[in-house]
Amino acid sequence: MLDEAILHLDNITMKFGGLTALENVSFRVKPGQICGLIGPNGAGKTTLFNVICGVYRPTGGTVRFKGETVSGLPVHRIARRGIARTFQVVKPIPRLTVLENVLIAGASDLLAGTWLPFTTRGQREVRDRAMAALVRVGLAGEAHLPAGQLNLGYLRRLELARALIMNPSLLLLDEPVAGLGYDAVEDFLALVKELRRDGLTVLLVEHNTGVAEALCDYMLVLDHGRLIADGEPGRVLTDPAVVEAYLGKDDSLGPSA
Amino acid sequence: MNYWAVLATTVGIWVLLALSLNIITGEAGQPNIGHAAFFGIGAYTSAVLNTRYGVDFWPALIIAVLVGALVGALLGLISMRLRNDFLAITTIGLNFVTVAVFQTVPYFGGAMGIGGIRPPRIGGFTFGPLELALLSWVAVLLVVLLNYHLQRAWFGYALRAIRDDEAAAAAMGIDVRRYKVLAFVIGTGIAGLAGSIYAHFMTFISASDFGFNISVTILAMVVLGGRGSIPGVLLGGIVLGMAPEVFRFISDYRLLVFGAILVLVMRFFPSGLLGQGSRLREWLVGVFRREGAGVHVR
Amino acid sequence: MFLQQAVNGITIGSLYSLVALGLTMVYGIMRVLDIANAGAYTLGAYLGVWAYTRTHSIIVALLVGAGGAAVTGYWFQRVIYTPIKKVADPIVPLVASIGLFIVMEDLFRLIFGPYTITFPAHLPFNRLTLGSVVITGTQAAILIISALLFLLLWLLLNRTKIGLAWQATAQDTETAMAMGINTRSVVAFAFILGYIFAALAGILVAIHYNAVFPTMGDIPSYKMLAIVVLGGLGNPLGAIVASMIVGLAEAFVAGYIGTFLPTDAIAFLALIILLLVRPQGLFASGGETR
Repeated sequence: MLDEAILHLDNITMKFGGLTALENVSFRVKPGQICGLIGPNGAGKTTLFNVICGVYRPTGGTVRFKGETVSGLPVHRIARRGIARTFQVVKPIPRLTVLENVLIAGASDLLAGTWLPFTTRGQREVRDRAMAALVRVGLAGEAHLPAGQLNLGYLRRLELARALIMNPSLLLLDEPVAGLGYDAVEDFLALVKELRRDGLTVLLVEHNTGVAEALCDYMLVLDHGRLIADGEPGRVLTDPAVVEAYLGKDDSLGPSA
Repeated sequence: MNYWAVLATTVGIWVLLALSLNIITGEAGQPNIGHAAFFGIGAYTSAVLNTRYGVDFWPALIIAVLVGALVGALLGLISMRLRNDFLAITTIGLNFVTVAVFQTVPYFGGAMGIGGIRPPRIGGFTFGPLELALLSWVAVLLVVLLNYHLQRAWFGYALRAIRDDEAAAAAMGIDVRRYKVLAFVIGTGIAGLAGSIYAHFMTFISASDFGFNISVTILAMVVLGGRGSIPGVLLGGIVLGMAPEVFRFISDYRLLVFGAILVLVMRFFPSGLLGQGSRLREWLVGVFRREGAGVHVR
Repeated sequence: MFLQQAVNGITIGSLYSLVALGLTMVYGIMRVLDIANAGAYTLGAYLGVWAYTRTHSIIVALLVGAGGAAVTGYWFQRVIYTPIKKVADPIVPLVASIGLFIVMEDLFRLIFGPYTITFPAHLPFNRLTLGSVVITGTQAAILIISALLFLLLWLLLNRTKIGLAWQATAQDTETAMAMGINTRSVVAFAFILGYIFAALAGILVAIHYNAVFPTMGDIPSYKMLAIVVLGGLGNPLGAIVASMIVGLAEAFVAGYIGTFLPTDAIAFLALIILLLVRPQGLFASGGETR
């Protein structure tokens, strides 16, 4: 029975000059969970993601992944250990094809080798894996288009494919359905649930609490850089502290999508 | 016969320079408008080794490549801190400073340059014009093959990703610093190679051979031909390399024509004549390969 | 000696400022390093000397030089730079500008001949002697005209509507457009003004050294790059400060040490060292790191 946390944040503090973006944030994510990170605008959700992925080095506290400390490691090393993330603003490499974008993401081990990058070794195998990832997210037909030509919904799926090909154990999704229409959102949520069935752990930032409630088994609420509640969605969303954090903002609580 | 051999060697050296710059500016997308500095570093290294220390061409060549690559590594590291326009200007500055050093420091012959550089030898046989032409074009062939291989290897993908969007490349697990430095090292090393061949071909070099105007010409070859496109760069190198001879009849208007070509090509073929997305390239691809749409040609 | 070199330095610095301002204004508005700006410098000198030999009026010479440069700047911007700018890659406009500069220089050579022409202008300023310091008539003219132009530019940028529109466009073109600013006019205006400044600098230099020749734009073109980056790309005040620093440095080195390195090498060496320490230049002005 795996009760060990796959991701463990211990007193994470993040300061930028005089501004404290995160303060003493601690939580654990269990393997196989879909964990939602919610909170009003500016609460620090994306900053927290950035800390976990190594974009920022935390001012204080540690991040442990699968038992090992990863805070302080560079981005590409953390990526190779099994944490994959998507971005709110999708950053594909526009002039390369969709397939090539996923290919590069999947070859990070090869690209890090001393001599391997100068060879073409493994290209066929990674290309197959890339194609498989594209199939998994439903983008197989667009494989040879320049990534810059995709619409938003497809771009989000490309992001997901790029994350998936790295065979992550933990997937960080940063507002993956923002700006998508109703149908696209439904499709995406179904996709995420499928991925969980394959054994992935997911941590997602979601602005819309309704979407988060529909998807997550576990929720974390951030406000002004502090963790103010965590637990099951039903309980968390009715927690008075959480309700108060949202009062006066233009987000509305409740199961509406 | 000699005339053609000398022309061939000259063009060969230009093509080497263009191919080497292509790795840095074409594939990796790092602006480098001071590439002649590395050409000069290679030439002077080889010349000094040969005239002062009696080192023969072949070992001098290798050392010239290494020295060029070393300085290139420094530039690569610097390029991590500087973006685009700043980097471009720094490379220009590097060019000027290098030329100034060669021109004033007595060890490098000062304003008089270095003369009496001995041509390459194998055993007792000294290279003549024909052999030098062969040498330079064998080098071109090897470098072309290297370029093609690198383009197809993971290295090429990493460089193209960095060229297009550095931040996205980093997020995908690419060690941007390492690849940028590698791109510079390989590019400047080959420029050093070209410099060494040049020194032993001309037997006399001076600082003004490696000035900013040379850097501009090399850049023009890459940019006009199509950054990242090996056939394009070859075309640019050969055409511009031969231009002074071919356009001898308009020799008085040479600069004018050169400048006009730069402006016009940039205006109407911004990715180069054979670069990705150029109408000319697509037309040629259509003519030479009757395949359906959707084939991604590099 | 010290004061004399200081005066010399400030004079050179003022000249550099005018050209640097032209370059930095164009960069600030369009993120384009316009080497052809130095062509306007030479153009101004040639038009100025041509006008002066016919009218013997400095004022007319300045106006004709400025006018010709203004038209050139407008057309370059309209026909070459704005269409090219749509391709995001910065090396393309840079190479185009180098091409334009080469074309301009060669045209000057073909039209006016490769030899140096003199510019025997009689300036209405007399030489001033203050203690051990001598300020020649030309130096006085340069200092006064430059000061007037700096003032004019400052007023323009900070006190007029177009100046504020300019600053907005330089900071963020899209937002400026959304606010209803006609960015195309602002860009055209920036180019015109930038080229006028370069031309005026060219005329003053031509008078100062009594020489006009086709390649006179070479040294300023590259030195300006170093100066403009030193001062922070797009920052007019920075350009002036950096110009003064370089001008003073050159004057003092020339006065006390003698020339040991070509002067553009000195400027670039200083630049490289500075950039290593502070990659955004002396005064950052937004938009450099990308």
